[in-house]
Amino acid sequence: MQAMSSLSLVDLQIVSPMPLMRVFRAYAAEVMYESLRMMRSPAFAIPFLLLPVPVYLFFGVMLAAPAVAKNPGIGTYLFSGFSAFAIMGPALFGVGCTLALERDAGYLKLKRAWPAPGGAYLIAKMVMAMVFAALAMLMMIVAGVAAGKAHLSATQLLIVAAAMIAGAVPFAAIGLFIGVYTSGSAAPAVTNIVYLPGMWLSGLFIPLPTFLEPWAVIWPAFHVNQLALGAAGVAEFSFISPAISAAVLTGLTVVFGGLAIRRLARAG
Amino acid sequence: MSTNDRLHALDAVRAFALLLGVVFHAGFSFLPGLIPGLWAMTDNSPSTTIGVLLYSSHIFRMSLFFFVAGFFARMMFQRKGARGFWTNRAKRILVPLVAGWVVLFPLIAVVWIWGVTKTFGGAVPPPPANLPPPPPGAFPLTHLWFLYYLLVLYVLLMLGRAAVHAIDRGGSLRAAVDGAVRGSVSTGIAALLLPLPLAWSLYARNEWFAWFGIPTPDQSVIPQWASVIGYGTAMVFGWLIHRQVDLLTAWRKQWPVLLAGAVAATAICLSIVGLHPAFLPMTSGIAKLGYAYCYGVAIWCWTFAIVGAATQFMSQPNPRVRYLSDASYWIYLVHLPVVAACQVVAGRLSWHWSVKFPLILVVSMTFLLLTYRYMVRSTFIGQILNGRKYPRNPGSGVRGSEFGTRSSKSSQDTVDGLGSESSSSPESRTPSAQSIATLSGVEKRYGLTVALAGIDLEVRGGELLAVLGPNGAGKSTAISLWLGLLEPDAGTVRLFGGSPADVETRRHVGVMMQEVGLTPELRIRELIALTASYYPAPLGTDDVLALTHLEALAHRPYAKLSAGQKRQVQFALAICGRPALLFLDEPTVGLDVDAREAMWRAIRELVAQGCSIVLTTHYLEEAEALADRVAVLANGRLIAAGSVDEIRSVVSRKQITCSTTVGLDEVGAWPGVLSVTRSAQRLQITAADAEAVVRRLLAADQRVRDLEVRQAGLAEAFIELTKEAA
Repeated sequence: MQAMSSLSLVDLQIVSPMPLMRVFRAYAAEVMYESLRMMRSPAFAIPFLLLPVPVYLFFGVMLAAPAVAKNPGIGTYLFSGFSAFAIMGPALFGVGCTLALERDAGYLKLKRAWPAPGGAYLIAKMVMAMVFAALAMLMMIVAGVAAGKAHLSATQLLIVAAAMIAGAVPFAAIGLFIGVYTSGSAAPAVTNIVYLPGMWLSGLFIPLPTFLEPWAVIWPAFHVNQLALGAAGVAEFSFISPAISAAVLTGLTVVFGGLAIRRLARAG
Repeated sequence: MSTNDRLHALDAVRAFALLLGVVFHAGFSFLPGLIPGLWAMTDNSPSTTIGVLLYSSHIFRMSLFFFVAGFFARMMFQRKGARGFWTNRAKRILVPLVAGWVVLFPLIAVVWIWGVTKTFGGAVPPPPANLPPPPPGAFPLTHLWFLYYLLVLYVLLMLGRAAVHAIDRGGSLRAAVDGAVRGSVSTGIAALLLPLPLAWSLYARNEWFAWFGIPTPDQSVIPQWASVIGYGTAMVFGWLIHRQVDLLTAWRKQWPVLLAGAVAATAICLSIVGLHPAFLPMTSGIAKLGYAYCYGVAIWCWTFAIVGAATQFMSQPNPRVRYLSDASYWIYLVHLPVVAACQVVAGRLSWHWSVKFPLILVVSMTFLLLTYRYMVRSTFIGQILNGRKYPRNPGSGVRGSEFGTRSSKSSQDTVDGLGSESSSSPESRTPSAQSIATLSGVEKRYGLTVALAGIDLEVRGGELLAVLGPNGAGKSTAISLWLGLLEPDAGTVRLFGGSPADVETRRHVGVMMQEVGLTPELRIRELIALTASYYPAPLGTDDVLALTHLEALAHRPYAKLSAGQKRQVQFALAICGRPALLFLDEPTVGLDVDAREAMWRAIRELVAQGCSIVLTTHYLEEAEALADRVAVLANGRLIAAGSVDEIRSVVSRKQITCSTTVGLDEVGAWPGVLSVTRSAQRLQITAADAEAVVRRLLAADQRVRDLEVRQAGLAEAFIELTKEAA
């Protein structure tokens, strides 16, 4: 223990305040390590980060080739739809299921006992979802451009990407909500109940039966897609105003995020 | 043959039935005379051999599955009760049904459209005009119908069970049924009787495509009679067999005969119905009835023969079989689009079926096993399907052995003594007068349970306070209050004169909790860096690693550590912020001797440098070794507080042991004797005034031998105190 006695192990300066730079570093560390650990989790990274692009290439490019040949606009719509699909998974599962597991493990309790800056944990999860959305969009844009099926200008591609990255936030909020109200073993099942129907019934990649069409508006994925297409000015597939979609998504974020934070503050 | 052996065998049987389904669907495109458009692909190299293979396997594969399902249903019902049963079935059957359908149906549809387009060379003919109307309740269940029917049959089974229990209160009916089952199984008549209901329902069916056996009920959510009867019989019989598990041994002996019967019945069936599938309903008549019955006999002969063979050959646990059993559920769920896609790709190649069919099987099984390995086995999907998540790396499950120094005084049957003044709390030596943390008049309840009933406790600057007490005494609650994790129902909690809810206050507090799971993917160095980032002036990461002897593990992910190593990491996280106050909740549980000694040294060094520490522990020698003061909690009350010596003197009792001829009752009556026991020839006396008792003992018996008087240790003091508080 020679090393020990030469070190000052205890800081008795009880009044020492936290320098602002250190507070900022704490947020940054939280975000960085949250993204890092998700990236390292193969159960998460393989299905949600690596799978969407092959799925897009197979269904959205190869199998849809005849339809796109007739109407190139469909290619753009499929690009946007599969992008929305690509950002949903990390946000819903990456936030919700890990939160539920960490609550089960008692980790969240420890986090609350530590002097982590306010909300760092939740913000880290939100930003992680956006980081993954950005990575997913990067790969989607490379794939879409390489396949030549996304008929969008560079500006439009950037707008779609920005909308999708922002669109990860409401899904992360829904994930938080699921994560704080369910146990680690139930969270995946509950998340799937939102994820799977939301994926198909929002009409992201297959035309919906007529009677289901009006119901697409209840799914957040539909609004993310509409926000991206509307903001990028793809009039052909813009069914509702992007402003309305943005408002719906903001509302979802506030409601689900707010409920989750309230419950976390009370029960942990 | 133990119960577990049977389970291994039946698990294997269930996997066999499911995997046979993959083979069945993989061969479908090769059926001779297959009508184009009926399946995703009609292969250009049809095969009678495959036809016979599929015909034979299709006879029994689903009945076998439902038989095993019935067996396991009763087992689960016995273990978990009705509520547990339904919760489990909802998770493992209903969720896969709903989620699986939503994902798979579009995939199947896409593959089918692709395949049918290819079959017809791009020009799909319009459907024939005279299509029969869709059945009532039409819904494309696809191959997932088996999950739907499982749920339907579970409901019927439970209703039936409830009805039997209502009618048959004395159990005589059940005893009669058990007797009948035993008789029919041991004589082999079961295989001849069980087909009767199915045979009748098949015969009575107007449109029966006899070559395909029990109608596959995948078109409608309204249960089909013949299917419910066929698979229901299998399930009920499986349930009944579980009532008398030893009957499985009967088939273990009979299986060669049963197998011969199965082959014979299958041959007779094929001779009636023909080697090539007829895609036409069977015409009514005596041949139909005979065929239906013979088909049923084949079902049951195959089922019993396979179960019997499995109990003979597969009872030993085998990791490969176990792996396949776990994988089979996933494989069967998702195989259809994969297999069909392979068939579509292969369908127009000019190779012989004997090349294509195995190739399709190998390619799709490889793909399915890989998806299982990487997407299911260690993920939430595996958790849902198989009820457990396997660790990604099976070698890392080293369990930290609990270090066995628990001074559990073997509870001898003492004649218990008198009470004492246990709740007097002598206050004494203080390393520093300043109060760092206080609980004043704190009460805390969880519902009706009182966790803390009005506690006053303080931690003084630079001291180590050990909080002792049995499980449920309120130790962890007290720490949670100090950390701001809980709000007291009454009283006040202060840290450094402020509120623990304030982050500023907690920036000087380090904490190590019990049973906490840290982020498994992060490496030790990263965990330390992250935690240190919360503190205003933390130690450097390398210093923390050196201090806690974790350098060698710095780049190891947390998940790969042993239990003891994890505790060391948690200790490192507790001290990395250079805290002025440290909470350690049972810090040395699971550590080996060296690691514990090292942690003790670090704790002493922290105290020497002025850190105040609250330490809860079960290991009394830990408190004796480290504590300046001890507080004893029991039932949410503080029953004693003081230095180690003072706590010991609160119970000023001594233990006297000796070999003597003086009687137990005589010694018990002496003044100053609190309790006395005899083990073998030795008396064991607990005394408040040891000297007086020893004098009297020597006077009463000149030949007292092996006399031993000793101070009660903290362990005894602690046990005395908590016993009296209870």
